[in-house]
Amino acid sequence: MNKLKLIGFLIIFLFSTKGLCQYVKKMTLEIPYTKEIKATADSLYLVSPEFTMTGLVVKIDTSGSFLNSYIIADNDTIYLNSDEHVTDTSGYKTSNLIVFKNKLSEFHFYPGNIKKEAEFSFINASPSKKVLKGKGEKKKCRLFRTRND
Amino acid sequence: MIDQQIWREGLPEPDYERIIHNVRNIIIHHSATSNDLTDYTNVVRNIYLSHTQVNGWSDIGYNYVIAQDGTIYKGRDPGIYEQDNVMGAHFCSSNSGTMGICLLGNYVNIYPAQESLYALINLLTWKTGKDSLNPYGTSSHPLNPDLNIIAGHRDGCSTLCPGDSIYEMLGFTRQETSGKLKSCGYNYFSSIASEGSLPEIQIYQCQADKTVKININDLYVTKICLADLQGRIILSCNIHKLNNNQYYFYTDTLSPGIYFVVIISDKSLFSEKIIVH
Repeated sequence: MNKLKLIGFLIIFLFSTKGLCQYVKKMTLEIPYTKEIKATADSLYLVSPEFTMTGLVVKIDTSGSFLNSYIIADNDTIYLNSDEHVTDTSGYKTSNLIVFKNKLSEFHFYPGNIKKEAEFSFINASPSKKVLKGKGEKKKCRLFRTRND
Repeated sequence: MIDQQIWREGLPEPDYERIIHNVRNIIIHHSATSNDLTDYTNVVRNIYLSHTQVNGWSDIGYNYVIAQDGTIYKGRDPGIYEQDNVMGAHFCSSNSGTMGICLLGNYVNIYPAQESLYALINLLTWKTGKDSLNPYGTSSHPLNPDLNIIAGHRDGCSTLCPGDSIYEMLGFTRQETSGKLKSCGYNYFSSIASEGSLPEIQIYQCQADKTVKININDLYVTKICLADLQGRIILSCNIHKLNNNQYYFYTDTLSPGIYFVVIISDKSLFSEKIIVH
């Protein structure tokens, strides 16, 4: 019984650790209708991936177009364009990388000429708690030395 | 220059077989990200994750990334090799022989900040000087037989990158790089050496009397000087002429280190490395 409990704890631990190390979450949205997004106004969708994000990339079918498609985040309207650095052989057209000024958990999306589905890659590049903790400790050390100097 | 260990802190490290090559073309890019972002490290981290985890590449595509304030980030992790000679992923799927430099921001309509432009010129000066590349020259590439040594991404395939504004300034960038190279005493223009008639230059170091002797044949020398690793001329007047073909200088006043003997002739310029112990 104890062994089973231990295995259970290990499985939970492994899954929780994996969750902490997730830097990119992918989600495919079908346009015009999908369960994950809610229509708020004329084809303007609220995208809430339950993931803190610092950046975003959108992939669409090669026959599609990013023309007139944009997102609204942090009171800023950001248009999607094709990323010309990606020579796509996978059958996708990739958008330019969008980096947000602040971390976000949701944004509004206007598909414009995107008529089929769009694959969203939400990126979380924010420093981990461990990194931030380390930086705080270093700062304390510097302050201590200054005062003693 | 910001090391990968700093900007990549907390993110997964790349692990792959590096390809090391000789650089013949330096390709300039823009990231096409917003010009309003000021947390440059965050932008570089997002590019890294987008390249590795969205595009599925081994590492960030560029060798170097330059922020709007002139900060240079080391890009693709070279492992035990040199930063500038590790092959990246940035030039129309034909990266061999190219080094990629990306300026953060979108330069379709606006010009880059002076800080980032001069950081670019400094980086280009260092690299062209190091590899004896002519900033005005061309080198054949599978995508373009007359690809400029300092070229834009669009010179390889159909793309707006690096943006009209940066592309317009590539001429100025070459000119400034060339000017800085001249002041650093590097050889970068078509010379008699590159045409196969390399003049005979012999440099001898004598530890006993702390002198360096230079024998030069078949060359009309106008000036000889000594430069440090940064290209600063440190000895130009104290080089003595023994006779028509022989020169010497003393090393007793120099700190131990690596120096370059720079020989300027009527047609060209040569540099030879010496080590002072």
